[in-house]
This record gives sequence, C-alpha cells and structure tokens, in this order.
Amino acid sequence: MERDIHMIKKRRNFYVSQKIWISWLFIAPSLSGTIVFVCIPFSDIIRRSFFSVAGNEFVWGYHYNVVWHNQAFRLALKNTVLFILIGIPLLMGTSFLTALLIQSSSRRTNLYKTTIVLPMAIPTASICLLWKIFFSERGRSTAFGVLLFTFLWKNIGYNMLLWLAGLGEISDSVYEAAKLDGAGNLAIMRYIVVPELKGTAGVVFALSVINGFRIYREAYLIAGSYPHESIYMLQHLFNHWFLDMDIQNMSTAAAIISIGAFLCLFICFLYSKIRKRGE
Amino acid sequence: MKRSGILRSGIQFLLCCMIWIPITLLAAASFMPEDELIYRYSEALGLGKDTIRFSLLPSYPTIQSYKELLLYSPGFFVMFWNSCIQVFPTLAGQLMIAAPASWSFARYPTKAKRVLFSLYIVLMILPFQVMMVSNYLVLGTLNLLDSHLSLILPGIWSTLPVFIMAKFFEGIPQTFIEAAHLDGANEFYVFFHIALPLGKPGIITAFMLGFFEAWNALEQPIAYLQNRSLWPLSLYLPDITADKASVAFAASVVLLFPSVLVFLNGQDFLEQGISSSGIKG
Amino acid sequence: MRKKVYQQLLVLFFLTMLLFTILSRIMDSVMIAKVLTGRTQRKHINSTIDGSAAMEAGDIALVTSEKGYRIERVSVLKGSKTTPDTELFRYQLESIEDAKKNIQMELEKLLLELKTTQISAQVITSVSAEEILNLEIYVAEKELTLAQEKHNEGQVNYQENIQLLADAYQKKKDLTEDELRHQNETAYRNKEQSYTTAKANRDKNVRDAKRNVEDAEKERNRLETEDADAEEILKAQKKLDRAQEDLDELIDQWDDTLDSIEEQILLDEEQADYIGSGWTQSQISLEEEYHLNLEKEKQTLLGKEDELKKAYSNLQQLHQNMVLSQKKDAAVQAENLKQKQMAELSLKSITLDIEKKQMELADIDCLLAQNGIVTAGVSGTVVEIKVEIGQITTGNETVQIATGNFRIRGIFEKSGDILIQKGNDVAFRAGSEDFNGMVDIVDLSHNERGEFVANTDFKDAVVGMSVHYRYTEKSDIYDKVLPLSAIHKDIKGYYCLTVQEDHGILGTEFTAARVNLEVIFSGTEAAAVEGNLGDETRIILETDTIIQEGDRIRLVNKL
Repeated sequence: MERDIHMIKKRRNFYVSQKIWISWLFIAPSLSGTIVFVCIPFSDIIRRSFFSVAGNEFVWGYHYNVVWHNQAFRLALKNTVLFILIGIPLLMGTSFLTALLIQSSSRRTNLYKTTIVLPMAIPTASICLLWKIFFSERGRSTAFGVLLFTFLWKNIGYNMLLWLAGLGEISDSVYEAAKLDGAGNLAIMRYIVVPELKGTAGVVFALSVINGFRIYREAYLIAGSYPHESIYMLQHLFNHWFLDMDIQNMSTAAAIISIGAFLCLFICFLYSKIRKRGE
Repeated sequence: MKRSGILRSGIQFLLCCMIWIPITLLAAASFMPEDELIYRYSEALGLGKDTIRFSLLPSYPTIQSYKELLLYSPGFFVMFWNSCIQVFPTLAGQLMIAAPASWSFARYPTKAKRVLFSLYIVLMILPFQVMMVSNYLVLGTLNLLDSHLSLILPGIWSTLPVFIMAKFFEGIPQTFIEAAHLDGANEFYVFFHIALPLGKPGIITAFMLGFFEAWNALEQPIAYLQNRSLWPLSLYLPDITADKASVAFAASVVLLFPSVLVFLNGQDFLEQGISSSGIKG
Repeated sequence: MRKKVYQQLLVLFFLTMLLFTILSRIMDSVMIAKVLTGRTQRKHINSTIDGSAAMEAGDIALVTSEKGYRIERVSVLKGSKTTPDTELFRYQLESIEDAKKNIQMELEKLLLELKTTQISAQVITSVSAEEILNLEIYVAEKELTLAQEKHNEGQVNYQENIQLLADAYQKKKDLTEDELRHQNETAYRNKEQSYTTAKANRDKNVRDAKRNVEDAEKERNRLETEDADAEEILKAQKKLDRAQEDLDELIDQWDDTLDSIEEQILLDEEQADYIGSGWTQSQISLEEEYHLNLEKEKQTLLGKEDELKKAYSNLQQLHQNMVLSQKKDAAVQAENLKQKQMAELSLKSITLDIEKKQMELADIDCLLAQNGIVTAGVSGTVVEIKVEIGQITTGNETVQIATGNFRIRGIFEKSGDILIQKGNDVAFRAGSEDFNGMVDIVDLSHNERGEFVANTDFKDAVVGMSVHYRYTEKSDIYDKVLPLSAIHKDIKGYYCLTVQEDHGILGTEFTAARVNLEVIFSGTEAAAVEGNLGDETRIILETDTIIQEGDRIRLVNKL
C-alpha cells in the first residue's frame, strides 16, 4: 500500500513536471505566432512612433503631438469613443432585458432564441445593403443612430445568450428563497441577480467592445470611404493614411490607441481586483 | 400576470419582427426585377433621389437577378472561392493553434500563464487599426502581400478562439482528467481524447465566431490585397455599381446562405459553448 | 434530425456553388467575343476597284437608206468588217426606176405650178372705189340741184294753191241755203227715181223667174204623165227646184236692194230735214275741209323741203364715204402688194423644189449607175443592221458601223476616297485577253455608283461584249493604316476598338476600349487614320460577334 502511494506520488511528480513542460509545448505554436505577428510588429510600431520618418532620429513626442492635434484623428477618436461609450451600455442593457424576457416565457423559446441570435449570422455586407436604403431614407443626420441600431441588431442575440447562460447559473432555489423572504422582483434583481452576473457581465463587456470597434465595417458599407462626420471612425482615418502610406501617423495613432486601451483595461483589472478583494 | 404575459409576448413579437423584416425585405428585393428596384430603392443604389417604397413582396417576382448573378457573373464565384480559400484554412489553423494553447491555459494555470492570458485578452480587444500597420510591414517583409496567406496567417493567430475555448475547457470537470490519468493516460492522450470531445461545444463556438469574423472580413483584404483576383466575397457588394443593383440583392441573399447554414448547424453548440464561457468571470 | 438536415444543406450549398461556378464560366466563355487583333501599319494603301464593263462602239457611222425603194439584198451581218467599198445592201432596180418616174412626174407638176404662180404674180388692177364714188357724188350733186328746184317750185305752188283754196272756200261759203236745199231735193228725187226703176226691174225679173218655175213644173208634170225615165223626171224635178230657188233668191235680192234704197231715201229725207241745222254743220265741215286742204299743201311743201334735205345729206354722206374709201383703197393696195410678194416667194420655192427634184433625179441616176448598190463608205465593224430584205424603205433604216476605236462603259461603286477619274489607266480582260484603256468620261451623279467611259485601241472585240475591268491605285505611304474591318462609324464619328488590359476579379481581363479616329484617306480595303493610337496598341480587327465599347473580349489567333 505504501509502495503504491509512493508510486502514485512519484508518478504525480513526474506528471507535474511533465505537465508544465507539455503545457508550454501546447502554447508554443500560438505563442510563437503571436510574438511574430503581434508582439514584434507592435514593438516596432512603438519604436517608430518615437522616431522620425526616416527612422533614425529620436524625436520624442513630436509625432504624438502632431497626431493628437490632427483634426481628423480627433474626430475619428471622438466618434469611436462616443460610439463605444453609448453603444456598450446600450447593448448590454438591451441584451440583458431581452434575456430576462426570453427566460421568463417558456413557450417557443427556441424559436425566439434562434430568431434573435440569427442576425449575428447574417453577413454584414448583405444586411448593409438594406441599411443603406434606410440610411438614404432617413438622411445623413441620423447616421450615428443608424450605426447604433445595426450594432444592436447584430449583437443583441449573442449577448443575450451570454446573459441567459449567466442567469441560468443562478439556481432556482435562490429565487425561491428570496421570494419566501418577501422580496419583490426589483429587489431580487438588485441583490441576487446582478451580483451573480458580474462575471458574465465582464465577458459580455469584452466581446461587446471588440464588436464595437468592428462597427467600422458597417460604416464603410453604408456610407463608403468618406462618410458623414458623425460616423467617421478610426479605421476610416487609418485607411486614408494607408492609401498615402503614411506609416508615421498610423504608427503613432496605433500607439496612442493601444496606450489608451491598456490604460482602460488596467483600470478594469484594478477594479476587479478591488472587488474581489472586497468579497 | 396575464397582462404582463401579453406584454411580454408583444415585445417578443416586436423583436422578432424587427429581425425578420429586414431579412425579408432583402429577400424580396432579390426577386424584384430591375425596374421595380429602381422604382422602389433608387436612392439606395445611388441612382438619384426618389422616395423609398418598401415592400415585403415583390410586385413582379423574377429570378432574373439570380440568373444574372449565378450564370453571368463569373467574378462572383471567383470571389466566393477566394473567400473559402481564405476562411477555411484560417479556421483550421486557428483550431490547431488555439486549441492546445487554450487547453494549456485552462488546465495549467500558473502565474505566468495568467499574465499571458491577460495579454491575450488585451490583444483580443485591440482593434485592427492598431495592428494594421505592423502586420502590413511584417507581411511585406515575408513577401506575403497580395496573396491569400496575407489574410490567413494573421487570422490563424487571432487570440479570440483561445479565449473562448479556454473558457470552455475550464468548465470540464477535473474528475474526468483525474480518471484518465489514473488509467495511465499522458497529457497528449488527455488532450485528444478528453479535452477535445468534451470541449466540442467550445471548439464549435470558436469555429463559428471565427467563421463569422473571417467571412465578413473587410479591413484586411482592402489593406493587404491589391490584386483584385484575390478578393474575397465580402468585398463583392461594396464594389458593385448601380447598374448591377438587382444583382446586389441576389448576392446578399446568396452570401448569407453559408453563414446562416453554419449558424444553424452549430446553434446548439453555440449555446452550450456560451453558457460555459460565462461561468467564470 | 434537424441537424442532419442542416448539415446536408450546407454540403448542398457548396456543391451548388461549385456547379454554378462551372456554369458561369461556361456561359462566360461562350458569350465572350473572340477577336483578332493587330497593329497599325505604315504602308501604302492599295485600292482596287473592279467590276464589269461593256464594249461600246466608238464612233459610229450611219448609213441610211433612201426612201421608197425595195431592198433586194442585205449583204452584211452584225459584226462584219467593212471597207469603204463593202456592199451593205442593194436596192431593187425596178423600184428605183419607178421612183425615177415618180420624180419626173412630180418635176413636171412643179413646172406647171411654176407657170401658174408666175401668172398669179401679176398685179390685178381694179377700178377703185374712189372713182365710183366720184360718179355718185356727181349724181348726188345733180339731184341736189334738182331737189332745190323742186323745192322752189313747190314753194311757188304752195302759195298759189293756198290762194285757190281760200277762194274756193270763200265761194262755197257763199252758196245759199236754197241752192243747197235744191241740190238736196234733186238728190232726193234722183233717189226716188232709182227706187222706182229698181222696183220695176225687180218685178220684171221676178216674173221671169216665176215663168221659169212654171215651165219647169210643166215640164216635170209632162214627164210624169208621159212616164218618162225616172232619171229624167228627177232631172226635171231638179230643174224645177233650181228654178224655184232662183226665184226665191231673186226675190230676196231685189227685196234687199229695194230696202236699202228705201233706207237711203229715208236717210236723205232726214238729211233734207236737217238741212237747216245741217247748214251750220256743213259750214263747219267746209271750214274743216278748208283747213285740211291747207294742211295738205303745207305737207306737200314740207315734203319737198325734206327731199331737199335728204339730197343734201346724201351728198355729205357720199363725201364721207369718199374719205373712207380712199383709205380702203390704200389698204387694198398694200394687200395687193403683199400678194404680189408672196407670189414671188412661192415662185422661188417652187423653183427650189424643182431644183431638188432635179437633184433627186440626178441621185437616182447615180444609183442606177451603181446598180442600186449601197456601200459602207468607211472601215469598221457593222454594229447594227436595220434593213431587211423585201422591206420598202422609209428613209429611216440605218446600218450602224463602228469605226474608230472601241469605247468601254463600266460601272464602279463609290467607296472611300478612291474614284476612277479621267485619265486613269484601267486594265480590262475579255475572255482570255488583257488590254488596257484610258478613262475619258466619268459620271458621278449617282449616289452610290459612278460610270466611266474609257477609250481603247483593242480591236478584237464585239460591241456589247462584257468585259472585266480592274483599276488599282496605290497611294502614298501613310503612317497609320488600318484595314476597313477595324474601322467603325457611329453618330459621333469614326472609331476603332482597342484592347485594354484590366486586372480584375477574374485576373487579367481584356476589354474593348474605344478610340476616336479621323480618317485621312480611305481606300477600298484599308484606310489611313489619325487617332490616339500608339505603335503598340492592339487594335481589334475582326470579331465573331458584334461588340461594343466596354465588352470583355478574348484574344485569339484565328476566328
């Protein structure tokens, strides 16, 4: 018996060391590619943003200054950020409500679910043809609104599923207990559901942000390369710079964005750490 | 309770309408003859200002647009197969690269891995603009510009599937693995015979999301492909001119078929995969 | 189960796509036009015009028949070659002699006509109206004198008569009443006398008539008693009746006469009774009668005055007539002069006719001397013969002989800038022989074709023969020459289609692009153009289907 346990322990140790090595092996292909295609180029970008166009003179924050004062950049940044700031909460909220809706009704749930999730499977190009019609009908001033609408249209389904999954994790017993305690629906919402869903919320948030940046596609398909002011996104600007092969600006702007993104994430990370600590 | 039930049903119905109506409009338009299209949707097609008259049913249904598209536009098919060439290898590559990596993240969480994982998440969120230039330079160095690989390779190393699959792999109970170990399985065996089968939902989900991402890819082909004979299908519609308006609608419909079919095929997995990915924040 | 369906649908979708890919490729390759391409060249432009032409006679000499002879023989055929002495046809000698006789007769006629005309050429003198009028005037003047005398006489008579009438009137007026009555009584008695006489006559006649009647009756009765013929009885009866009738008639007559006399007597009685009152009456009537007679005299005098006036005006009229007739005379003189001149002219024409006839005679004599043979008179080829054996000539029959050189008439189409012009040298081919001709006349009045007439030395041909001609012209060297098949024209002008390379979805695509051209010189097969064409530009020369600007094309080497 002891010998067996020893054997087991030995094996486990072996396995453990082996595991670590293997685990890294598993990651290797992904990691290597990521380094090659992402990290190295990215660092190069950062480097370029500090150097002159020709690439040999260290110019500190000159380019940053230039880009930051570039009107187009400001507009694009403003639009993009605005969109994210408005769209994400909107999306999260509506998809959450929809999830609640679907969850409570049991009849023909599947059909509803399929329907609501379906838009994510519709290719952007196809549906944008239709949005173009709506767009020309409504006029240019509501471009932003149209973009928001399509953003919601496409992503409500998937986000709703995420919420549903999260809601599904909350066991019925908790509900019943709360009801017995005499809590109203709203109270249940605030004190039971919401806390449980923090994790889900995080995932929803992340995916929504990704999709938020991807809204450029819809903007391009609806309004072309030079759209209305309110929907002039970062990618439009980058495309124009790209056509001019204006690598300098692109690099710097990319650096700016990534810095911004890092900062935000860092804040989120801190926030979640604080929250976790608080629990 | 009954009133709220009706309200609920009403809202649900409304939602469904909002989703089905645009699709139906699109389908209807694809069956309209050219003159009707111009009559109804001229401004949208860049043909001048006229009031838009929506219709859920074509007045004079015809399959002329489809004929035009399917029989007389060989360019369409070139682009279609281009899309396929660009999408499927990407997906296959993603699977091969991301699956082991996400399994590794899920199964062997170390401090380093966590940091790496966070990095991956950051990379996932970063918009394309940021990577655009660097990718371009790398591809240029590798002489891969103007070829299918310029889209495939960066796509394979996208970090989104890693994230999704990792989330799901995390959901596999430890007990299975323990049991396998006891039976004398090594890691590879575990990976291939436990993780993959059990993680199928996650894999399929990643596959699907990756498919939608790749099938609709717009920024990359515009930037990296100069040669028009390599363009994927997602660029067909933006490229279409007003004189082929009817074809545009038909193309939209044809375009959404594979997407929708993939969706329908994997819908169940999607739900499973999602629900699992939502477990841990 | 549903999932299986979805999976199958997915597979089906891809298979369908594959199918349509192939189909669309097939359709594309079928529908895409195949073209032959080439580049502009720097060369001459050869133009060739050919077609058919017909040989015509050059100069044509006509030999015309005389009129009125019978053709005895035609000695040549169409196409026969002639010399000046070649006999064409001959007339029948008899017919010539007949004609001669005719002409001689006509000549004589003409001579006669000559004489008559000569006679009529003499001027006819006529008594002029003037002279006549002079006579008339003379007479009228005499009449005037006479009338004047009469008038004077009349006036004298008038005066006398008036006096006489006045005297008689006066006398009558003085007649006493008694005398008048006496006169009336006498008249009355006479009347009575006549009545008695009449009555006595009557009685006598009646008695006679009665006696007739009695006689007739006795006669009848006698006949009746003697039983004479009924006819005789009847005759007697008739006689009796007649006598009776006469008697009655007579009685009536005499009664009437007597009655009338009685009336007359009564009237006269009445008149006699009214003498007293009638005396005034008769005085009045006497006066009236006197005035009447006065009037009559006056009238007579007036009448004489009238006659005088008439005679006077007659004289005046005659004077006027005189003037008129003087004018008329002048006209008549002129007329006469004209007629004289005309007569002289017709004399001349007759003389000419005579000469002509004499010439005809001379000709006939000539012809007779030739035995009625008509010769060609020129060298050449007979082109047409319009005389026939046995025909009696009208003078319009001809024999056409082509002399000199042949001429060729041809038609050419006007294409491009090339035209056949005067002076061009054109090559002809007749059967197996080649010859040349030079264009002399060109007619460009038709829209699409032109006609030319060329002269040639070639002798070995027949009029009307069809020949081929070919005219070639080589132009200068031009820098950019394209075949005509490559050049198109529409409302905006000339253009050609060039190959444009596109890099499109399907790889390297070729489309047709339009390049506007200006045609500098156009031949029959190629043209020199000016346009935005490089030396290396590929130009579409020929296609298998009609293509337009913008169509996709496929380059092939052979259609």
